[in-house]
Amino acid sequence: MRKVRGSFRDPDGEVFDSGHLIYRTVNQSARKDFEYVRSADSFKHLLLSGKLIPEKTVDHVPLGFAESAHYAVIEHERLSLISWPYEWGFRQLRDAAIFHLELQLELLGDGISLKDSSAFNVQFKKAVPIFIDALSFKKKEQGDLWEGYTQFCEEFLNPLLLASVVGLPFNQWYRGAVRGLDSDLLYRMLPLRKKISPRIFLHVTLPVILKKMADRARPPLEKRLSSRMREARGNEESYYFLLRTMRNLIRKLEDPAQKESRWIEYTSDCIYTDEQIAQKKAFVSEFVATTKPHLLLDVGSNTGTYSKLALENGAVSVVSVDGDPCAVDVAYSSARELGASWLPLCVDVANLTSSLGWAGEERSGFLERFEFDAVLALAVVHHLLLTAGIPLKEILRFLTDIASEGIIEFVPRDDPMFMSLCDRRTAMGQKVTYDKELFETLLSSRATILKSKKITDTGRTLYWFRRN
Amino acid sequence: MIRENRRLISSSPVAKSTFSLFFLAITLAPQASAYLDPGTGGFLLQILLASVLAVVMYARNSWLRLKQIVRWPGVSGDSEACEHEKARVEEVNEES
Repeated sequence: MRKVRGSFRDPDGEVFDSGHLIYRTVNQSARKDFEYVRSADSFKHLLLSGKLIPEKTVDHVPLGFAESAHYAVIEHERLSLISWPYEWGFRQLRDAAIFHLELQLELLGDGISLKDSSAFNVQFKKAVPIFIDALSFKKKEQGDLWEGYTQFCEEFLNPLLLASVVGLPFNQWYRGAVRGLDSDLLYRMLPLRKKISPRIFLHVTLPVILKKMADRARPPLEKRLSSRMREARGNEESYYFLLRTMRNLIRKLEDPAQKESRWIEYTSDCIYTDEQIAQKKAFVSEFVATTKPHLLLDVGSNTGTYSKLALENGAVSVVSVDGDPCAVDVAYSSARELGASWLPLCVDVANLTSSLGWAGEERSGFLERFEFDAVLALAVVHHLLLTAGIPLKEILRFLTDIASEGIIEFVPRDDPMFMSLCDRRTAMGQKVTYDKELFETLLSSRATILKSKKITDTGRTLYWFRRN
Repeated sequence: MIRENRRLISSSPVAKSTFSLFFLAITLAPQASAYLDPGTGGFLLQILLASVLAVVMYARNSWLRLKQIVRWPGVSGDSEACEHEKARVEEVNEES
């Protein structure tokens, strides 16, 4: 039993991971809200429809907690694939945002509001968003404001606007800041005509202006106002208005991948003839059908053609990573269509996500979250070698360490893709130590080559290895 | 300045209540066991919006009530029309 590091913020309970199940303690302070929310029809409906993580209250506490400290313990299913918003593509973050808003709208009818609006509380189960924080809900009192509004802007809206309106992928910024993107910073990046477009004005420009006004007020705002005025009052209309305008704004944000998806398809397949693709697919299918991996990692997955193939041939779950957010968006759309346990992530394999946040452990790193038993590294080694500058020995060490079995595609020096990447280096007089013999020697030193197949005339070859 | 403004708008009870509502609201965050920083900009925006919408709703409801009163002694079938109008207004409110 291990305490989940990211669960310390909420004073109402803690989360523990047994390795098979998740346990959540509910403190006495949350009793009233807990009981109110669990009796509401909309909450029951959301549980049944799979939008909320399934839960059951357990009488017997197998944890050895001091029982007096909390009011209840609930047991959750343990999701096998956990990811963080800075690893998502645009479409994943947009779907998660709309999902979050619709969840709030549905619960609001029963007088339930959310006490936070963190993007980290949304996960993907079979490529569909699911809400995992069972203690986020509370009884909404008359006049309550949307407490998580600013958090929603920082963790959902602003990164989406950065990608869609400013044209910069949000991933690197988000990962750097962990808690999203400040409205002040986004405001500086927005073009003037976007700053004054009505919905962006409402959700970005106006809060920034109001904050500036409040910051400049002398004496400070709190001191200037009488102490008998003590209550913040919102109203139903404004709550609904905010949620709905936010949803409409996010729904209309254009997907930056739409323009480029054709290009992605082109580059992924142009190098092979149809027959060669069929051969490559047959090799991968045989590997997956034989090894039946529980969790397969597809490195440099592009739009996920081979991830999909792996799932169709018996892989239980697949995590596919690619550094291009547009490719991830296309893969995510395929994952939704397929409805399989497939998680496409926008992660650069040369710079995997580390543990981040408070005490350096709030949001676990990529390698801590997943235990892979198979890996596919198709047409990616030459990118790592030439673009990321990782020596071949190091690449093969990593690939044979991350999973016990897998396929690595060797791309020879005279392959057009290799040459296009290598030209600049040779022009600069650099020597790249790389050939088939070296590849095989290095791979054999760490693993057994069970099977290999030459795919193209230039000598692209697939190697099926098993770690020694 | 605030006092002056108050005098200026004191003639209208709606504006007065909205105005004080806004300043009431600005003072302090809700006293729940919240652990999240509401953020100054987002907080003020919500208060402002709530005040504006309160005025809009008040105006709209007053107008409808007035219409109802004015129509009341009219020709038969008016009450039905009123009910219809009420339902329509409720729909509009929900949509907004």
